Amino acid sequence: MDQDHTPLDGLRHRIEPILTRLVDGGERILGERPTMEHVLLTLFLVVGVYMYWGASEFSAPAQTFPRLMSGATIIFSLLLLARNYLQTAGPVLGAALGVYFTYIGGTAFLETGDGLLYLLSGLALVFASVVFRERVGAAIESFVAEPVQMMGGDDASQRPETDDDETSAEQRETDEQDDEGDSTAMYVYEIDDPRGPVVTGALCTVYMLLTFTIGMLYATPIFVGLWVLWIKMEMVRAVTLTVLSFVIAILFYEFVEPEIGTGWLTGWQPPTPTELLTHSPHTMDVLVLGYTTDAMVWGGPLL
Amino acid sequence: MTLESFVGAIDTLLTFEIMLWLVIGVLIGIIVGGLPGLGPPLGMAIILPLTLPMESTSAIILLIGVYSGSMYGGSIAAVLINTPGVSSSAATMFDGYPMSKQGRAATALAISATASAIAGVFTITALILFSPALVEMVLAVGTPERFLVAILGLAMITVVTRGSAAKGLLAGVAGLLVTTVGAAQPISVDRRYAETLYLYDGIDFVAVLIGLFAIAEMMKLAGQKGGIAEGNVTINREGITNGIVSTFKHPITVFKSANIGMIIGAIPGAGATVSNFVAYSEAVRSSKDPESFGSGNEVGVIASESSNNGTVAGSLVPAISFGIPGSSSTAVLIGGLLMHRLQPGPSMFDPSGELQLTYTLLLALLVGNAVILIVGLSMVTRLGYLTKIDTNYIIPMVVVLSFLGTFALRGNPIDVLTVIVFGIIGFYMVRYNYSVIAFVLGVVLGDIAEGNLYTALQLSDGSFMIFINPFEYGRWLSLLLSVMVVLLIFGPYVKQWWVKRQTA
Repeated sequence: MDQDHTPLDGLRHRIEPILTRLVDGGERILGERPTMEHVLLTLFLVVGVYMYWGASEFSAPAQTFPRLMSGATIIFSLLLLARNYLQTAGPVLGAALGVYFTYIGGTAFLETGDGLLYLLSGLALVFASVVFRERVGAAIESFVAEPVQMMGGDDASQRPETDDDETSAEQRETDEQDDEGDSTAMYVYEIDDPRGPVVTGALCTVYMLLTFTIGMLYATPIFVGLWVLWIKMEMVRAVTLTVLSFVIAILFYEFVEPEIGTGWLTGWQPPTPTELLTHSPHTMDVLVLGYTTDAMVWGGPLL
Repeated sequence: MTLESFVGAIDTLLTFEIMLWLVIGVLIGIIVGGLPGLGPPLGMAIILPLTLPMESTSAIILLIGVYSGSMYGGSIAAVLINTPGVSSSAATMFDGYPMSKQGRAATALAISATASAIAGVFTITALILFSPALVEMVLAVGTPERFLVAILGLAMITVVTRGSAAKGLLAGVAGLLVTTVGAAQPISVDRRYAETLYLYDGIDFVAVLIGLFAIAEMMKLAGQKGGIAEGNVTINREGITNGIVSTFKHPITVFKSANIGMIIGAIPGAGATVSNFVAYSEAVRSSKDPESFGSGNEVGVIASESSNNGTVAGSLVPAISFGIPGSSSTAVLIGGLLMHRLQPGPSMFDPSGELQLTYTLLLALLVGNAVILIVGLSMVTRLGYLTKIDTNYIIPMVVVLSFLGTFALRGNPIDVLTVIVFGIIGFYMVRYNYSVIAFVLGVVLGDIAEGNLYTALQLSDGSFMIFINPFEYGRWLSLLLSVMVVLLIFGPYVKQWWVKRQTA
C-alpha cells in the first residue's frame, strides 16, 4: 500500500527532531533504543500501579484478585523494561519483593498467626537476592530474555554463549525474532509500509471521535470516505464502498441499535436519512445532483 | 441421562433453524478463511455481537460453523496464491501451491475438502465416544483445582509461545487484570476504579476480542503489500475426482494427522498452527519418498488439512471442560458461550445442565464437516474468486462491522473506546512478540479464575495453602497441578542450567 507524499509526512518532519531528542534520552536510561514496545510496557506498568493502588479501596474479598494480577503486571513490566540492567536490578527487585513479602507475612503472622508462607518466602527471597545476587541476576536475566521451549529440542541451550555486555540490544532483538519466527502460539509479520497501520489507527480514532460527536450512523460513511481517499481508490468503487457502508449503518440503525444515530458526548442526533426523505420530497433529486456534481468535480479517480 | 441428552441433541440439531445456521456458519467460515488476512478468530469476533438477539443454541452453532468452515477455507488461499488464509493452513502451502502451479489446483482443493471432512468426522466421533469419560473427569475436579487448571493453561501458553517467558506471563496477567475492572461478578461486589457508571459492568471482553482480532489485524493488513492473486490459476473440474480418490488412498496419513491435530489441539495455545506443521513433518518423516515433499506431493496436503480440522475437536476439550481456549478461535467461542450466559465447565457436562447443548455442538461439527465436503467439492472451480478480493475493500468494511457490532453489544460507548485501545495494544503486542493468545486467555478466564479462587479461599479461610498442602486440606490434585505449573514455567530454565553445569 505505497503512498506518495502526504500531509502526514510534513507533520512527521516537524516532530522528528523532538522525537529524536526524546529517543536519545530514553536510550541513555533504558540501555537500548526506545521503541513502541517500551511505550506498551510503560502503559502496562502505569495501569498496573494505578490498579494496585486503586484496589486498596475495595473490600477485602474484592481486592485479592486485582492486587495479585496488578502486582504481577508491575513486576513483569519492570523486569522487561530493565532487561539491560537485570544483573544489578534483578537482585534489587528480588530483595525489595522479599522485604515486602516479609512485611505483609510478618504483620499477618503477628496479628492472626497466618501469613507464614509469605514470611518464609519473603525471607528466602531476601536471603537469595543478597547472598547469591550474581546467580539471581543471571537467572532473572535468563527468565526475561531467553526463549524457552517445551515442544522440540532445546535450541536455547545449544546456542553458543556470548558475553552479555557485548550483545547489543538490536542483536538480541533480532535473535529473539529469529527464535520466535517459527513460534507456535504466536506469529510475527513484516510491515511493508509503516504508514498503513498508523493511518488506519488514526482513522479508527477519528471514527470513534465522530461516533462520540455526531453518532455512528454518519460517522461510518465519513470514515470509509476518508479511507478511500487515503488509498486513492478509483472513484466509482470508492463511492460504491462508501454508500455500501452507509447502507449497513442505516440497517443497523433501523433494525439493531437506534442509539448509533446519536452522539454520546454531544447528545446531538442529526436527522436520519428516513427523516430527510420524509421531510423533503426533493431529497432524492438533491442526492442525485450531489452525486453527479461530485463526479464532475473529481472527474475520475479521487485525488 | 447422558443418552437422553444425546438423543435430545439430535432432535435439536435436526430442526430447520439450527441446520440453517450451521450451513450459513460454514459458508461464512469458508469465505472468511479464504480471504487473505482474515481468519477464524476475526470472523467469529465480528459475528459474535450479531448473535446477541439469537437464541443461544443457534448462536453457538453459527459460531461453530464459522470455526469449522474457516479451517477448510484457509487452504484456498494457501493453494491458489501461496498465502495461507489462516495460519493453520501454512503447511498446506508447501505442496498445495506447487500442485496449483502444475495445473492441479482442483485436485489440491478437493484433497483439502475431503481430508478436512474425514478428519473432522473422525475426531468428533472419537470425542463423542470419549465424552462419558470426559464428563466423569470434569465433574470430579473441584473448585481449587479448576483455578489451578486455569493457571496451568496460562503457564502452558507461555511455554508454548517459546519467546521470553516474562513476556508471555505479562500478557496473561494483563489479560486477567482487564477483567478486574467493574463489578466483581463472581462475588457481586462493586469494584470501579473511576466514578463512572459506564464502567460499572467492566470492560466487555467481546469488545476486547474484536479489538485484538479485528482492528489489530486490519492495522497489520494495512501495512502489508499484496494479498490478492496476481495471476490466473486454472481450476479444472476433472481434478476433483483425483483429489477424492487420492485422499481415500492414504487412510493412514489421514488417521495419523487427525490424531496429531486432536492431541495438539487439546494443548492450550498450541492449536492448528502447530499441529499442521507437526503432521506435515510426520508425513515427510514416514514417507518413502521424502524428497518429493515441497514440490507438489499430495500426501503433504492431506497431512496438513487432516490435522488442522482434527484440531477443532481437540481444542474443544479444554474449552468446554474448563473454559480454557486451545486457540484464539476457541477463545472467541468461549466468549460466545459466556455472552449467551453459558458457563464453560462442569455445567456443560451436567445432564441436568447444558450437556444437551454440548452434544448438539459436537453433532453440529459432525454435520458441518459434511457441509464442508459438499460445498467444498461443488464450489472448487469458483473458490478462486475469493483470493481476488482486494484487501483495500476488506479493511474498511471489517472496521465498520467491528464498530457497529461492538456498539450493538450493550449500547455502551466505552465499548467503542475499548475496541480502539485494545486494537492498538494488540497490534503492538503481536509486533513485539507478546502472546496475544495468552492475553485473550486471561481476558476470557478472568471471571472463571477469580470465582474459583474466591471459593477456594473461602474453603481454606483465606489461606493459599489449600493449593499446596494436601495434608491439611486433602487436595492432592491441587498439589500436583501446582507442581505442574511451577515445572512448566521454571522447568526449562532448570534443565538449561543443569545442561550447562554438566557441560562445564
